Amino acid sequence: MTMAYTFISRTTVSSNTATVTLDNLTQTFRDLVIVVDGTLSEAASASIRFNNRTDLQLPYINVQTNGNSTQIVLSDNSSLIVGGDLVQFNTNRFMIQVNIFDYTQTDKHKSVLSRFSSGQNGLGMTAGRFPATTAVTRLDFQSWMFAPGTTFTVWGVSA
Amino acid sequence: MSAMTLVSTVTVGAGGAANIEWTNIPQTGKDLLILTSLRGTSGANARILPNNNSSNHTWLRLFGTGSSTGRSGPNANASNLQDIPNNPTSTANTFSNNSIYISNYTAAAAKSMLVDSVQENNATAAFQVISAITWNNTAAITSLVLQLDSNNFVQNSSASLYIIS
Repeated sequence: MTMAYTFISRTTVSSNTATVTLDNLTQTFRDLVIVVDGTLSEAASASIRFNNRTDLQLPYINVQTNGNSTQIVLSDNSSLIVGGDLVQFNTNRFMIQVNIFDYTQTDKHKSVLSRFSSGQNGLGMTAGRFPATTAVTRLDFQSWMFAPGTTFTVWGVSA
Repeated sequence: MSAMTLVSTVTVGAGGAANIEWTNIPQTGKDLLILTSLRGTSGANARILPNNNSSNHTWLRLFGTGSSTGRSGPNANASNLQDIPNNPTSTANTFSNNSIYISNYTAAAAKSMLVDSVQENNATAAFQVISAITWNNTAAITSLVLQLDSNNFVQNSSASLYIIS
């Protein structure tokens, strides 16, 4: 489905950074789309923490391939895992697309769909849930480490 | 105001077409999104070529066929849209539905692409594919060519290019 995006913000990392925080997210849209494009300084996966909460376990299912094998992971964690044991983002260019649905709603948990690609290193997708009825106001993208030039772009999608 | 701007929609006319292409793509956006509806005159695979360049492509994909699942790659060739278009054996008047997202298309860096695709068919066999493509070229993308590895797209195949700002 074609969506109408409204640009919200773009953050560009200027030095090796382990955590990129998108805080005080505007609450004027229905859904959020975030695209991360860049490289890591070392091979690692990535994860997303919601509202800086460490007390919740986010259930997720993750399917990924590195070309040699395919893995399905059904688990939960205090952060949503993007990439994983098979797919490690590294100095090769990668892209992560994240869709967070109903992020401002206070009557439901938040569904999250993500796709990630790192060229010939790996490919996969994650479906997960932020199990809280509070609105999403902050996202922390974590890895080791986002290299300079990596961008985090946020768009809002209106209802 | 929407950050998603239509550049143009190309619809294949009578007789079919070997290529669907866009030239002089404005360099004012951040990412590109191509939404397509494709059917081929043969069962050939397809390719998306930034700047009509068939070099330095690597790709990887996960797929379901309707009766099985699999993966292919990593591969280093330009035939980076495998099992994307509907082929002549699929139900008449059906086309595949595809999304190609290209990130940071103006950057002086390699380009990442994500592909989501489903074929349509009133039968078991229909591919669902997600692909990761890297075009390892630091040139800004100023044109795009969408083509089959051989033969043509049929009439009424279409593709829309959007700039995401």
